[in-house]
Amino acid sequence: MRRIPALVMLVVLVSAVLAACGGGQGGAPGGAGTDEPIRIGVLAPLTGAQSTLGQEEKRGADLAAKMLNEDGGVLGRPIELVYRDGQGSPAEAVQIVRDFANEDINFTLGYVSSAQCLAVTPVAEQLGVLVMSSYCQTTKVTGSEFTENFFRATTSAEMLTRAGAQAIVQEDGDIAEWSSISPDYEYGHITWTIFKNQMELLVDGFEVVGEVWPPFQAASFSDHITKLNNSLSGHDQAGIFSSLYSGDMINMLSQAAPIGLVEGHPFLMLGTDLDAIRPLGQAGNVPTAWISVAYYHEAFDNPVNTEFVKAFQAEYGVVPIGYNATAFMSVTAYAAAIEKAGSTEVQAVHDALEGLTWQTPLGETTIRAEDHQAMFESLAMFKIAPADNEQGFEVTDVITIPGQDVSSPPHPGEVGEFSQ
Amino acid sequence: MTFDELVIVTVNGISFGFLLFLVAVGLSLVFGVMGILNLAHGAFFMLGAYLAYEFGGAAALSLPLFILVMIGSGLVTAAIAAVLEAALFRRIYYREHLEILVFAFALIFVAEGAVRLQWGPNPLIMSYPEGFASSVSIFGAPVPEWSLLIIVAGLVILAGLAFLLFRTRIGYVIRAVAEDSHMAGALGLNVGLVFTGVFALGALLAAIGGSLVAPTLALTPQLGLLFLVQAFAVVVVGGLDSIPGSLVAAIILGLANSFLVFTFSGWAPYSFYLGLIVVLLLRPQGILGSRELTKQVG
Amino acid sequence: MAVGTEAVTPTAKRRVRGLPLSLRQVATLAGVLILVGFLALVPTLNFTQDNVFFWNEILIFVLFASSLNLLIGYTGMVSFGHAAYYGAGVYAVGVMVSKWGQDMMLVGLLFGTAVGGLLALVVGALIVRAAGLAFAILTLAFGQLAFTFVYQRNYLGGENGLAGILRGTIGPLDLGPLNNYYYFTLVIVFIAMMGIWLVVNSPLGLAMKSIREDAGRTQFLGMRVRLYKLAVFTLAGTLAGLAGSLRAYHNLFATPEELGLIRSAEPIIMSIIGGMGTFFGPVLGAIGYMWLENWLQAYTSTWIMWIGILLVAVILVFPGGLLGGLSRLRQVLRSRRPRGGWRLPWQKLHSDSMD
Repeated sequence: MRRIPALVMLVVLVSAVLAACGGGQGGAPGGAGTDEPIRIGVLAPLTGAQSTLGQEEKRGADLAAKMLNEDGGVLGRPIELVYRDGQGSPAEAVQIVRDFANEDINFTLGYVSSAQCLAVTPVAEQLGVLVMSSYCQTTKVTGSEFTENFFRATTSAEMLTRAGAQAIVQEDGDIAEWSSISPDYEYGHITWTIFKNQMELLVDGFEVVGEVWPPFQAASFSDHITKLNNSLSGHDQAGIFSSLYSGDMINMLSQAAPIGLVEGHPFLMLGTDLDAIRPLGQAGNVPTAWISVAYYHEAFDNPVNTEFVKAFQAEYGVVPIGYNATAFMSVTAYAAAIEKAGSTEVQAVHDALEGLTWQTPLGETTIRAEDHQAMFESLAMFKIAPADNEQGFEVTDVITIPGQDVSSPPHPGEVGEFSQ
Repeated sequence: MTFDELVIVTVNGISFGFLLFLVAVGLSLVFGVMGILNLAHGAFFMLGAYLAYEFGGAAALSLPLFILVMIGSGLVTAAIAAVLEAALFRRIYYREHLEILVFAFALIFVAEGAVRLQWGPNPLIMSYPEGFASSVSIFGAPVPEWSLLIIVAGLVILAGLAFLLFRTRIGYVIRAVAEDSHMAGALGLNVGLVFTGVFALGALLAAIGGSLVAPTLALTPQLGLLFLVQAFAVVVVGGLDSIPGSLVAAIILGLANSFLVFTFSGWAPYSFYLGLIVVLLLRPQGILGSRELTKQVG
Repeated sequence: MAVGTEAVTPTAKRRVRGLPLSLRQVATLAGVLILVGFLALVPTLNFTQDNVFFWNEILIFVLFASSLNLLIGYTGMVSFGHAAYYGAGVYAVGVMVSKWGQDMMLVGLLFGTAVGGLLALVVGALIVRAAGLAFAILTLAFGQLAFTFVYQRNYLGGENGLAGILRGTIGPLDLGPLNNYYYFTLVIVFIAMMGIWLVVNSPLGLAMKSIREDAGRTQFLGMRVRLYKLAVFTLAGTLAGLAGSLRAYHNLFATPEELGLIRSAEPIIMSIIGGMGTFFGPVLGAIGYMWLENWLQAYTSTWIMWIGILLVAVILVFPGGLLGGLSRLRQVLRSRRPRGGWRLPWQKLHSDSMD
């Protein structure tokens, strides 16, 4: 029998795989107009471990561009979003920022990790590109590693952590004993430090009863779960703080559910949004917990939010989550600054962004001139609980925390006191 | 360390060890018979988990139904693996190890893209089967029932493989091929068929491992790489061609990891790599293995 | 088949009239001249986005992949953890600049190179006794160990890595501007590649190939195989350290991904695509891979699948990569069955893998 040539076999197999999968997906960024468009570069994690976030980011930003363009654009010109896949990688981000600069795209937004932000800011400064971070939360970029071209239209880790602490104390009572299961790298350690500092201010006799540090992308959290569970015995009322996020949070909660680790304990999840809660709800493993992501679609009663939620539902058939709102705000911040500057000249837009006040789904928002951090009237914190409905959970409590209560004075060039 | 903690560490370590064994056993079987270290195992593991989700969905199933879903996922994965073996893999057995390894590694990339196209990038997760969503107390230590089920599954698979290999005619043939494939071929055994079968069986075991972790791990297109290095460590430490060795190694590594988390937790992430290094330098054939890896390639 | 392998085909012996060089040597020289000439002109061309930065990265990967090729392609020592030595170079520069405030760039480059080499020497001393798969897995374990270490240490910036690396001057050269740094990288990489060329064509190169073909017999011939292996491992680590130092001054930061599994896999993939065990294979492979990756990423979110399919295809259909394919094509065109069947010299048949 003659052997079938390898090449033929390969072609057959590849086409079989593709046919089974329903073909590839393309998708060039849309947005054309009669007048020359204003182009904004969006660096989103479209592939890799954070691609869920990238997907939500794209929805929020696309909607903002669509709504702005339907209203006649900015300075009479349409907004065009140019997407690039940052893969969550700092090296990719640097390459992409350079690509943007070369294509004469001087306004960029997105950036998913602190590492990406810290990596691109020096380059952006050198290239004269503005960086608007939608997701990286590190206080370093507005603090010790501050650079002129960096802006943050979203909350910082400090704001979220402090607001979460405030919400849980305000609603669930003065919980003095606390423990943590947070990732064993800088983000995990710094958020726990901020949390402890805030708790010292809020409750008398604040005490740490246990902390465990699972490594990044651990396959099994069981040892850390039982260790924490062990240190919680005898402290039935102790709270649990966790800044695990995304896949790690889903895995930890799925593995903790059988032994009821968080059951009965006040539980604060930092930076985990409903994207991670939804699959948990499908599997019936949603805990009772406070979620600190600053946005909840029902929390804000202002025209921008009403319109945003309505348009979002019309476009995608679901309600927006925090990731959507953040991307939305980043685009509208540029739009507002360009309107204010009256031009798309980089320095003019930079100057307009400093001290810019614009309306966002979170209400009136101002970018501080000193450290380029957005300041919010209020942040929304909400509590979820398992429920017997289709999605497996319900939101049981929503409160807003005044932004000024959880923000430090600007400290560009220095490490903030709350992070020490 | 108190007695309570010691109990918890031991129970945790053993159950984590069995989980690792389930993930790694197919790798060991394929190496033992065919002499190739099949990195595509990670792809089959991921595929198995996704197929289980596809067949079973997110809602809780009864245990028999879950087992049925698991077997279905295993069979489909095995069929895919058999096709891959017959069409692609057997063309490169004579090549250098590097090429075989990279070839299989590339299949993980392909699987990542295919899974992404089919199921999207968002994490998915299955439910624990009905009645297995809580824990029992062993000497005061809470142990998820699911972990106990994984231990049982590990023992069943071990027994099943032992029966297959040592009590059936098929096993006799497999062992003959594993011993000396050239001689087995010369004696008229269909070596190619045995290779395809063993490769498919390895994939089936990977898929069963994948299905069993689907309630505890978010399914993402990157799942194929998540366990790979650990599975690698387990089979190498245990002895690449020894299935009981894999079990022993999995339990030792699981216990070491648990012990470190409770004592010197900063060292826990290093434990697998250190274990690999120590074993390969001091006993290259692994704890129970018979073949020295160094002799495998000239 | 490129120069640098041991092959001496009849064509190679044919001399060009009037020149003391063979036809192949002339062709190779012309190829090198064209490539280097093109690379020298990159800053003046404008055919791709931000070409200088992109090509600078390619140059660094050329060196990185070639250093690994010394190990895998020439000596048969498969390493799955080569990024550890590359990453050591990146972080050595990072620590020196951002922690110790040392801004002498020459010192940084030498330090990064030395740290890469030293780490390779220490690890190599432990592991060269192992061979084959055991060696490969040991390199993987050490690579993962290094990655975990960098990820966990706060001093090294953890997951954020170290930022704030700056390019300075070396003597009269101001390397701050990207174009200047590009030419600097081009010169350094060119010199390093000449060094690699000299090594693979030296007695050491012969010893390396001899170890690749049969380590046991090489030992019987009285050569100290382990010593040679350690020397090659250290050399490869040193060159990777140099590539890493160049990378640090290129990206201006150091992050753990520089030591990750993917970073270790990339030079292997590049070499396989270009042609492992040939001098020019990794060069072409690095250029081809970087272009392809850049291009695919712009069009599809499943680019990684296409890379996988390409690799599968290359291994199945074009063993020996681009260069192997070229050489086989030439032999087919001369309607001659390729020497040694369809395998390339480095793809030694090893029947013992299945017993």
